[in-house]
Amino acid sequence: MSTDEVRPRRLGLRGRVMLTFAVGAALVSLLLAVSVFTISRGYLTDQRERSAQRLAAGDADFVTRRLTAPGGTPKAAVAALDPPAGTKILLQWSGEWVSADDTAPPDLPPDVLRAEVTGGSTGIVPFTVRDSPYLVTGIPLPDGGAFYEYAPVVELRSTIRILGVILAACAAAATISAALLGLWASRRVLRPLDTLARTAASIAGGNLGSRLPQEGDRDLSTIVSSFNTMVDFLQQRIDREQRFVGDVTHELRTPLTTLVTSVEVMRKHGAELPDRPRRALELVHTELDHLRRMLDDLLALARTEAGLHHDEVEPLSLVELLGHVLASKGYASAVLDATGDGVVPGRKLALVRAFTNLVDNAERHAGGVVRVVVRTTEERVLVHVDDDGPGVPEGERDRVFERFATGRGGRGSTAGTGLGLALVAETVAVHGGTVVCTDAPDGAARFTVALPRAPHD
Amino acid sequence: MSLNVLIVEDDDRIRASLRLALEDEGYGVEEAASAEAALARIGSHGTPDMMIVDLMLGGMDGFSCIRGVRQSSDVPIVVVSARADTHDVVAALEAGADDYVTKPFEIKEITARLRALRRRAAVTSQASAPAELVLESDGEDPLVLSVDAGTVRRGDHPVHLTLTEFRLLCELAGEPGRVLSRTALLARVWDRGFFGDERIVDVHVRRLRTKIERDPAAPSVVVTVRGLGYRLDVH
Repeated sequence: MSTDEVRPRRLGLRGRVMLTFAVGAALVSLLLAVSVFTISRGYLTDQRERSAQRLAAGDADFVTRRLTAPGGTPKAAVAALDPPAGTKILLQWSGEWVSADDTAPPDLPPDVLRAEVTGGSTGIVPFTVRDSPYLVTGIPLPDGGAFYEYAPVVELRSTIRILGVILAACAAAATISAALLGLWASRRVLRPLDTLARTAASIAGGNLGSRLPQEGDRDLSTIVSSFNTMVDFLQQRIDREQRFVGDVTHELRTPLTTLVTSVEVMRKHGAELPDRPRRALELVHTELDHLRRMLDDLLALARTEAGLHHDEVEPLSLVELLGHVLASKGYASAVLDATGDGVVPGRKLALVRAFTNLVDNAERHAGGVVRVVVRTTEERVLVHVDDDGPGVPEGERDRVFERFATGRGGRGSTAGTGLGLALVAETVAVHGGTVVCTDAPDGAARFTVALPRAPHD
Repeated sequence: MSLNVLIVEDDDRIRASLRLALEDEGYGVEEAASAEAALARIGSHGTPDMMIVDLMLGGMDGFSCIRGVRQSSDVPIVVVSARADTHDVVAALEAGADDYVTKPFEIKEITARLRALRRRAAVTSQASAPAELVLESDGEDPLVLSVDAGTVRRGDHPVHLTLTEFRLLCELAGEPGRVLSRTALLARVWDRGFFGDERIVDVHVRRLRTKIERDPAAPSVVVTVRGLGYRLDVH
């Protein structure tokens, strides 16, 4: 219990299979997405740079030719160019900045590029002008001039962004699908385990005939046959034990029958016997009676443990049943305080024996029964049996239902078999009810039997 | 005149002690150590007044013994069962036994059962009930109960009932149309109280139906009233 609280709860088998699938798929798809993204971005950027450079080189050539032609002005040369939409041209000629668009002051290229171009080499750098991304190509012209072409890369950026989003979505989708696949696979793989659990529960519930179905799966056939063999073995053992109990009790019953019958014949002729043998005979009779009751209780206990057959169960009125039990023990009908019908599904003779045992117990240990209360609720029928004794100490209240709990002390002629309350507990349990020992309102002992009520309208 | 009881029991000591006890109670006792011996004894000396049969016998078992006796006789039979198994008792009753006790029994249990059976036999021989009662008149062969003659006829054919079956039918026919609880029937026919085994009633009703009903699977004379008991319908 305490280790559960300290350690974080471990995932179930199903959860772990699902998690493994999901993490695996996430790693693979993430790796794939990142590499596809990096490669694609590099390739696309490279392409764009090269085409921008090619275009700028052509344009620079054209401008140079125009400038060197007679009557060519920088303004006219730039105006004669027909660049693609969004592309801006900036020309540095004789220390002047010339652009095709005069409405605004020119956006000068970055210093890195200008230094490079001044040094005499062509360069290309990404540059942002008024929040718009461009690739700026700088080409040196003769006589210290320079040609700069700003190619817009908004589309490239958005293409790369969309690619990124798509790849991320794909990775997420792959991860989720893998998790679902994992869930499905684990369910499928664990289905035999579920069957095993259900079968085991059914066997634990007393249905010893349950077996696992033998399926064609090689991986499972070993566990299935081991399980079935184990249950076969268990059933054989239980059968053997039951047969043994049956045989033993039969073997005991036969000589006991002869003994009981013969002793009764002797007692009938007790007047013909001298005093001493007659007293000895009474001892034999008493012990024989005790032995007989003990065997009866043992048999009843064994039979109760075997469970109730549904065809033995019938609707019974506990009010009527308790009335008969109390009457047979010589109690006045006023002892019984009942409301409701108190009808439960049960086996009459078993319940008669159980309640008789409760009454016997009260008479043996606590001066008899003073009150029996029957209450019928929506779901249950409660029976309180209150005695006239000093009550049962708290620590003893569970123990009294154990077998031979009465111990050996104080055995009189009316001694119990030590099985009476154990039989009560077993009987009540197979009827789906409970029995507890508590205090009666006046401090005596109260045994409360709660049984499920019979289905009613 | 003392009643003759035939004890069929393979255990010598139980047989001997039963003989002592029953002779003390005033019964005439005969013994058979096996089912075969019992059937032979009945074949040569005629039926006893009552029988006590142990179910666990060497050779032919108690069930077969009862069936064998029932072929020719309706003598009251009390079965002694060592096993408390539900099935044993029901099977013995179905074979034709009238009542049962389980080992180890007290002799007063056996004598109580024997007395109840004797009382039954005595009542049926009294001529106090209405002479004839037609239980089922629709169809070709009416079912007629003659209480004083102790017979049941289907048309011209006599229906053979054991004494217990006959007595059960008489109790039900005594109040036609009224439901009798199993506890009440147990008390009236078997002299057992609330604590008796109601399966005795159920099995006897089943046996009775196979003999008097046109279709025992769908009884119309002795009908079951679920949760209450049985009722005899005259029609």
